[in-house]
Amino acid sequence: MTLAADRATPGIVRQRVRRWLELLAWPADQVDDIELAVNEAVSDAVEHAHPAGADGGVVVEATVETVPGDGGGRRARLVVRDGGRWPGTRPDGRGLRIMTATMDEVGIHRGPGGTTVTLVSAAVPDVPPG
Amino acid sequence: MVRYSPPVNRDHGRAPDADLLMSTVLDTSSAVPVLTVTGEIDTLTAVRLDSALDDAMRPGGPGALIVDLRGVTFLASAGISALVGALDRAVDRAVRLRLVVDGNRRVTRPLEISGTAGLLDLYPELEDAVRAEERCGEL
Repeated sequence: MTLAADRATPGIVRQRVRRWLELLAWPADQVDDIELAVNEAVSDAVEHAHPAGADGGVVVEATVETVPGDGGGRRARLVVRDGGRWPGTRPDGRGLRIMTATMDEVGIHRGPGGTTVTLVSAAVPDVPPG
Repeated sequence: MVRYSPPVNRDHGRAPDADLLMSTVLDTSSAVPVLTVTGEIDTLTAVRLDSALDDAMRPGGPGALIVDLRGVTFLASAGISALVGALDRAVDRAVRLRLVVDGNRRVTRPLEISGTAGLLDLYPELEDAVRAEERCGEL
């Protein structure tokens, strides 16, 4: 989904991600954690990535993937992309701390075309049959 | 007296339902004022929480404030920054700031993983915070 770089956007993304995970019967505590992480990534994109007055959207992609290996299970992968440039210094590191504590993997790629944050959730069991 | 903080239009005309995302109510009817916060605290609403906390700890006012966070359904780093900012102000103004969380995981989880829980004075129930305040003997 593509959204405006607006302060209301994180709330919209939270609501959509929550609904999507609930439809997938995701465990409730894990839904809360993913909501925390994606909120920080989208908030950063909205707050830091766009110079004042510049017009730019925030793109959020969410997919479920099967965890490779014997353990099995599934995990969510969320990619948050913006078209701006992340400033060199951040006002506080709590957002990043929240992302790394709630996710199995956090990847931040800053390029000339913008910043991409990749969040990979903890693995959860497959949906029980029936 | 119960003072409801009307949604302050500081969000520069954002989504119309933004004000419904979070509300604060300041109850000054008992010896210790209680600020009850309900809803979602994120980058959109944290600014209103910040001003509600500031208003509730006016210089020369009561020496304590209880903030009831049991009805908070989402707490982002922006909201945690507002709480930490309030703590700094409380120290400056010699106000005892006590937060009620009642095991609300949507509050305790972000406080713990961001390394903030240890900074704040957290209480399970409202009565626990009131009792702690009574023990201060300044009622």
